[in-house]
Amino acid sequence: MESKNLTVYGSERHSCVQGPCLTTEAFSLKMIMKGQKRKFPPEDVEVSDRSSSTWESQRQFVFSVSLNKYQHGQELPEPSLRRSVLIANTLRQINLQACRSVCVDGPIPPCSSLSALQENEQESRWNKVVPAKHHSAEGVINSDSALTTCPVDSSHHPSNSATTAISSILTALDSNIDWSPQAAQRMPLRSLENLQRPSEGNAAWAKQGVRGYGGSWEQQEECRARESNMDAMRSSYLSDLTVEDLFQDIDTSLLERDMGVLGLRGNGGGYSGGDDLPRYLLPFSPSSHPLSFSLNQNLKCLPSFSSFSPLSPSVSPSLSSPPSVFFSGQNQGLELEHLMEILVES
Amino acid sequence: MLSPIQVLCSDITTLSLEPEPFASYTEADIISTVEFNHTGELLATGDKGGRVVIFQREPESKTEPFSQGEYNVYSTFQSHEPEFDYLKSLEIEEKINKIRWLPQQNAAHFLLSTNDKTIKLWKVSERDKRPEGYNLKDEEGRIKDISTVTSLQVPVLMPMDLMVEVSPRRVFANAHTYHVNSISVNSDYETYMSADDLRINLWHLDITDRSFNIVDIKPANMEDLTEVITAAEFHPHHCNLFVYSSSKGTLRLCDMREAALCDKHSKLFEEPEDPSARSFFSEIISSVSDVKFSHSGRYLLTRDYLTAKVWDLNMESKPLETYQVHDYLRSKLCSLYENDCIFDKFECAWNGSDSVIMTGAYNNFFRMFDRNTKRDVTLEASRESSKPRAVLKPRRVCAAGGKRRKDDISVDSLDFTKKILHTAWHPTENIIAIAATNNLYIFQDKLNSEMH
Repeated sequence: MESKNLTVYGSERHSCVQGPCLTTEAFSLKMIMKGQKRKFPPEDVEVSDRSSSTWESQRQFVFSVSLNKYQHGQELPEPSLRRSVLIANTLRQINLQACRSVCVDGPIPPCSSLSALQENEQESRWNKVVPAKHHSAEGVINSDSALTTCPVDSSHHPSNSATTAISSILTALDSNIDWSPQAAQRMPLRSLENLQRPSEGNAAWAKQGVRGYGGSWEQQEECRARESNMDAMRSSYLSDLTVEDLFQDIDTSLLERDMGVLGLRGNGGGYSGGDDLPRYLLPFSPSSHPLSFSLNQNLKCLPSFSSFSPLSPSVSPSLSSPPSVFFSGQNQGLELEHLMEILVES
Repeated sequence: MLSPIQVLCSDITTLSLEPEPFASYTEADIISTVEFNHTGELLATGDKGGRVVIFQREPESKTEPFSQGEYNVYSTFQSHEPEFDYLKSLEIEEKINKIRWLPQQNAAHFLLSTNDKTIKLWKVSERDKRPEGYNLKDEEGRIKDISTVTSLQVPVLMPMDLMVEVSPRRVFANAHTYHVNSISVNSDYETYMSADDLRINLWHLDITDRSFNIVDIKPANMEDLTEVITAAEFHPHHCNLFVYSSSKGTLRLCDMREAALCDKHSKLFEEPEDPSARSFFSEIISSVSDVKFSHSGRYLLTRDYLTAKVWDLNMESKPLETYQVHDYLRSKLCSLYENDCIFDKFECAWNGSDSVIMTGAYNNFFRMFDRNTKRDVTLEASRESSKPRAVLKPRRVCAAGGKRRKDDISVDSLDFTKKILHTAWHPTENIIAIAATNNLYIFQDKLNSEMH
């Protein structure tokens, strides 16, 4: 008698929850987040069949919810790191599945083996997707490897609705995101931490340049070209850290945005960009001469944040054009000098 | 030893209960941690408002047999205040994340309490005597007129009403960039560790101005971050061993003798993922929310979102036992993700003999699993079902659409705002403390109480 009550009810549960439960249930109000309207009715049971539209709609639903959550989390007075990391990982996971499902549909055989490879890869191999505060929307299209190894042209595939949906969501978010200065300053520690190891930091910026594509498949060629440039740049970074120690206190996040506005591109290729920024900020030594020319060179190496920041929307459409340095002429160089001097003095 | 489990399951008596019933409670009253001391005589709770309330168990009394075992308020104090970090423009919550007692070494009791950033060592001492008969002061403390003093007397200690004094003895601050989630006192009784999302620091109890960093999983580039530390604990007997859990569901056992920085683990406990059960939320539900060594030091108990697992320290490949806490939620993960419940961090507890494990769930339910008989029970901590001396009735949750018995609760009518995140088990007896939002419930095994 007693033992009946104490039976692990799991065994009975199996007999209850059988059969397809794909219809949406009437959830109790307590389960629904306050005030949030549902875009897609969430299917209760995870559909394992990846090619079904139900799975697709589930995936898109989770994707949009995750994006919202991540942004809301960042805007909280006390963002929880664990929560942000978990949401970011979920987004990454969704995108990987999206890419894989597209690849599998495509006529190009190498894709499936590559997608299998991706599955076996360590997570650390995946390029960062979301955690950067600047790039929560654009960064969602992850790992350049995912993009470059699945060269599927959207025009050839009617079943590319997923990727086009993703890109449309991203572009919509792009214009809607409120990039108030507070959002940037909320975690100033992040930019400082990145600055402490500028070799890695610059590598990250370079990778982010790839991410800024927002999932458009047509730009695969530029993507691959840029990636190879990035690789060259990355390998040539020196890890001279002595100068950075002096500049740890300077929050350069605003500086970077300014650089972006001036239309700088990060694809110099082959430049030693490891400690460009501190070198640039130093009182000008006689060795760096002529000044504007060295500035030109150094500035070329600083990747632009404008490609993912709606602050300078005019710059982003030019992503597909070959990288160029807008910055030219001595006058602009002197202006920048002046700006740098002010920053250093402050 | 302890009472057998079958009695515990069917006969649970409630003892002293929550404070005065309020119609509504403030958020500051939400209990955020519960911890018995090493003898079980004292029970400390911390809340969101930064206060610590200590309960003391009344000693046995021959004249009033039923009052034995009741926990009454012993002391209340404000441990942490809200702070503001001017550099980052962030508020630092005063919520007490964890309380850990130090083993008692003299008449006073010591406990460590921590919020997100600062750990404090508190001394709790009793004063039941005071000196009386001063020469220069009168009874009220006023200075006497010297000319009235004709003879000298020696002040004597006279009994007084018991007064519990709490004073902060140490403040361990400025060592954590991220939010502290765990503290654990070492078995050497000299050191303790504090763990935040990315780092673990080792402190000496007497030294507040520096700590050693023993684990650092912060990547060079924060954008590479995919894993955080969720809980950490020292081994109960070996002062060089500790374990920490991650948001990816892994446990790492580290030996401090191997290196100064224990980034490299000695053992990695990870269960390979079941590919058929993979979903969008697989990683989130695998995140370990609590890890506890067994009293013997041989086993580890971990809690993730849907299960509680017992691991053998000698077997890294998979857990020894897996207990489904509320598997009926597996099909609701999407909704739980939407309303953030999927991020709830449930704690778990061992009983004194390591034969039973306990953990909380939703709807004010908590579950106990007997490792030997494989039986389990679901009980509810609520005012209605917990009149003093009442026996708790086992509850059942029925999946929607299934056979439903009387008094069963359907999954869809569970209240997800009523969650039991914090539970504690008396170190030797079958007494458990359950924190349900702003209420503290203390339950005792009926057989246990009848024996006294």
